Amino acid sequence: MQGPKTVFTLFGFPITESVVNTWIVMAVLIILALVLRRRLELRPGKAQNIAELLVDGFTGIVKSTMGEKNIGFMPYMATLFLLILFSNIIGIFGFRTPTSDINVTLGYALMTFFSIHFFGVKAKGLGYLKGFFEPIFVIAPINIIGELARPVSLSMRLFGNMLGGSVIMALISGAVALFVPAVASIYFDLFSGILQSFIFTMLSMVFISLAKD
Amino acid sequence: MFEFNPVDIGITIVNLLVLFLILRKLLWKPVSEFLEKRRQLINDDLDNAQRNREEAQKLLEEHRQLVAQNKGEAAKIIDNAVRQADLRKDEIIAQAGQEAAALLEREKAEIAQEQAKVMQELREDISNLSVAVAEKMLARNLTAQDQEAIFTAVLEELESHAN
Repeated sequence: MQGPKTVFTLFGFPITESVVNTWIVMAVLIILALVLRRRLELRPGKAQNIAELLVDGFTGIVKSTMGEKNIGFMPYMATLFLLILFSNIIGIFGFRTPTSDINVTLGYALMTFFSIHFFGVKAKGLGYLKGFFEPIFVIAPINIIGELARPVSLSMRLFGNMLGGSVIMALISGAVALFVPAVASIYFDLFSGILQSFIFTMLSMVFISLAKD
Repeated sequence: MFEFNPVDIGITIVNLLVLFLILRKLLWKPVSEFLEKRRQLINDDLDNAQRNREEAQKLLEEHRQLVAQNKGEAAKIIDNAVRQADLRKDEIIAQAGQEAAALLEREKAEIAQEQAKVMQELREDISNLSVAVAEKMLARNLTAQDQEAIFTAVLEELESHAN
């Protein structure tokens, strides 16, 4: 399987298929948001029900994993989840999934990595950095490697799952053209995509709230 | 397949941040605020309903008391009226009795007066009659002295009869 193709170049930078597909996903999400929030009424209609379900659901998940005081992370986590989710399942519609590109998943993982340490320092000040030398200072290099491993594992998990799914789907489609790829697609594109986006978001939430406490 | 491309990583991070800002403004914030507002509204409504129900209960209780009180008052008023009517009845009966007695008294007086008048007339008639009888019996005119004596004698006799 080939890497993402370069679609066009912008100011001399090559713009790859992954980035373009991410923009498509973003456009879809923005349109969806516009449709869902079109009319907010006391007696909700169908669209508003979905919007309320999303907001209530994400609020509940963020509340239960990060605690009541970190409810402000809900918009970011919900956005991250929806962006990865739609990037994952866009494969069903024949697009190359942006998340099977290591640069995309590493970008998301780096955002989580920066957030962990930014909010850690913000919440605890220098005490946060002291945390690396506990329980004894000898352990510090291991702690630091552990911290660096987090974005690597996050990005690799998502990238590997999605790329692997795509590869297997390509193999199955090549071997049996009828019926079997449809069933396999439900697992590899849909189920795996939902699961991986959920895992990525959950881990981000857990890491950030751990760094803050 | 496994090439790191810092430009793609940068674009991805920018993408995520931009989408985060857009969705926060479009969806997460307004819907969250709306939900919060509605929760508030429903809470207020429920509180209001509770208050109204309590107030209604209180009013009902007050009205019941008022009605009971009024019933008592009405009974008292009727009682009073009956008592007053009884009083008035006795008064009227007494007055009627008095009037009847007065009327009777007047009648009696009138009868007595009439009786006296009749008596007087009778006495005059008898005296005249007795004078005439005496004149006829004597067949002659008596002197005034004789007349007087005879009249007195007859009168005395009559009076003793009348008594």
